[in-house]
Amino acid sequence: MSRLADIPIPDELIQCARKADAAAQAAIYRAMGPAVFALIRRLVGNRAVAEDLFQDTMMAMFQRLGEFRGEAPLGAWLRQIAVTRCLMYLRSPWHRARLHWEFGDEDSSLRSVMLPATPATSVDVVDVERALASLTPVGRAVVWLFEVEGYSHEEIAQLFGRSVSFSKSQLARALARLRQGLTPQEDQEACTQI
Amino acid sequence: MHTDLDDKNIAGRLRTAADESSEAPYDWAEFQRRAHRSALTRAIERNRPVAIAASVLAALLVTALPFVHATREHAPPVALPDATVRTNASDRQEQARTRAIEGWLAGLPRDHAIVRVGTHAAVSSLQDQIAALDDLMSAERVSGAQPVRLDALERQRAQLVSSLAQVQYAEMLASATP
Repeated sequence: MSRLADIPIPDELIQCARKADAAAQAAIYRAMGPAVFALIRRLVGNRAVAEDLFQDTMMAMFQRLGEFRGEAPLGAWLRQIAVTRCLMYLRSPWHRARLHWEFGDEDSSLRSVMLPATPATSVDVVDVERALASLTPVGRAVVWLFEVEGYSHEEIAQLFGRSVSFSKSQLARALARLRQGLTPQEDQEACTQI
Repeated sequence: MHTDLDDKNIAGRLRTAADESSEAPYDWAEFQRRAHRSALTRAIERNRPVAIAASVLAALLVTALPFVHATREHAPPVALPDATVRTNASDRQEQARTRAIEGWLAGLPRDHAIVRVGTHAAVSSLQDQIAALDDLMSAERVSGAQPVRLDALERQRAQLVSSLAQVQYAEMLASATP
């Protein structure tokens, strides 16, 4: 189930925002902003990058609101804008260069540090965040789009410009890693023996 | 003991994490401020070719002007055709425009922290030429030169001031570009 697509925005509010009504735009921003940022942060990991992409996405939404035909919820349309921008970033040479500068070697360059933007309220969420942080950016994007945002393998393949089997294999690998990260290691020695 | 998690369980936990309350990174006022700044940056980016073109044009003008000036100084003074003699009203308009440009130039900071060598040379050359023209006009007035001759010099001076403003404006845009 998609989070963004579930947010109800009255048509009247959208009409007012189209006419550059600042109050209506502010109301949409307040309603959509948190979910948009959460999605972007999960997809790209790095908070500073997520902020830039968030700004870009919200600006694009207000600029292109005239093109929104209302056939799908506003959140679904906005989600498409956000996801497209995130994937463009993940595919960009700049992103690869940044990972290389930050992590150096090839293996660790596949991962990026992702810390929760706001303090998580439960221990389980902290575990999930930590497990997500261990994934590659592409793997994380695929698993999030498939499992949380409800994208199909065909849609993910189209977004990445790759085959359906690419999406399936990325998902399988990401789930295997998440399983590994989320499984309680009870047989592991927790403390140093005295 | 290991507890194997199935994919549904993982998906459920991911959705729970997605449901965790999160906030936008900043409020509406900050969003608007950043949007404004971004629009400004894009406008500067869009104008960058114009600024470069203006700089090139000004540099060409600066290079060509000494030759034109030298040719005119050595040429015998000739009366301009009637058609080129402007009315007093348009003269006043031209002078007011030049004064406005000079006022704007006077309000600019003396020197930027980083100054491009080419621009600095162009600005210095234009300023020297304006000063030389001012001297020449003073001398012409004292010697009782014809109004037509003074008009021509005044027009030449206005062109120089306008070129100087273009160069300074181009430099200002280039400095504001990150």
